Amino acid sequence: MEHTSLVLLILLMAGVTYLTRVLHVFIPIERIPKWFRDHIHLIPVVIISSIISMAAFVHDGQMNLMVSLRYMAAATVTVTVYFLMRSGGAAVIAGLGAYVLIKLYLV
Amino acid sequence: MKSMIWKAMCATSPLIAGMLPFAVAFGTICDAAGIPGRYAIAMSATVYAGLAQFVVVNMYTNGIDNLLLLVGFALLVNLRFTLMGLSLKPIVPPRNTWFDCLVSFGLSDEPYAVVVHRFNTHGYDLVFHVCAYAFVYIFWVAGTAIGVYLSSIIVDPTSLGLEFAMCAAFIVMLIPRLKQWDSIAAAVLSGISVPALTCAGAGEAAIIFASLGSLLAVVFVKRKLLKQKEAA
Repeated sequence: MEHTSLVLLILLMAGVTYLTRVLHVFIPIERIPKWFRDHIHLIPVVIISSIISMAAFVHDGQMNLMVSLRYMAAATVTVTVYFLMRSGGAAVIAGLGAYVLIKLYLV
Repeated sequence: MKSMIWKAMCATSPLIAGMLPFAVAFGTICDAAGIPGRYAIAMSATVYAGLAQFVVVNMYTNGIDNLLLLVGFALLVNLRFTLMGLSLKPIVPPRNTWFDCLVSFGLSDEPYAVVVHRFNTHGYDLVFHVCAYAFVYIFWVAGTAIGVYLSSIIVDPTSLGLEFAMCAAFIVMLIPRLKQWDSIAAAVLSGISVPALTCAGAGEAAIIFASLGSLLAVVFVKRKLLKQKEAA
């Protein structure tokens, strides 16, 4: 493929991606159905939960039990430290440390 | 203002640590695929969406067979940005449309989670919002540049184990939101749906299907319960 086609492909993808990012600006809040507005607070919950699940259970497009076990063990450490210390930073560091250790020495 | 910039830097740092290996990996993959460095960096700077970029590289190496399918795929996978933007509407005070369009360019998974978390704990701040978007963007582009120019000495940046930092940061941001049964139900349903949908062949689009599906399911159950309550 010529570089011109690559540039066009990049521009096309940039346009499509930006469209999804900017669309909400042109949707007035009053035009959003009431039932959706009433539950808009659930959107971050479902999206963040989906991203976590994707990271933990799907690897290279498929499920890998060993990698998922590593993620789940480290996630357990993260949650435990968060509830014990009530500190997000400490929880992230502890979880990351656990993950690296598990990856290096266990699974 | 300086303290707010610093706070945005601190809040995004675990997510950047988790995202950076992927940005570097993207740069090395582009180099391996024979894409000139300037195009790889331009792609990160303009597309700024990990998956869509990897798809472009794949198409570059394998050849474009269905452009319409590619556009449809990119729209579907990135539709979550629209949902994210809609959920920010009640949080972000109305401003100039052009400014909103400009800021929206920085909307992605990591800074979105940070901005929402910040709003829930400390309230909304425009400087924090813009800085969080900017930091993640700068590091994504810089990571790609590192990958492109140091690809000969970088082995596999994702082997360091830093990818979990992003996951851990998302977990920490999710927990405080799980206070009511509807949030817990939505989170569990969404989390379970992703691997199930992936197994069913939804691929990366599983995120948007799982998010929308679980949101609608919870709304349906809540409305049903409300009707029952009213009837009683």
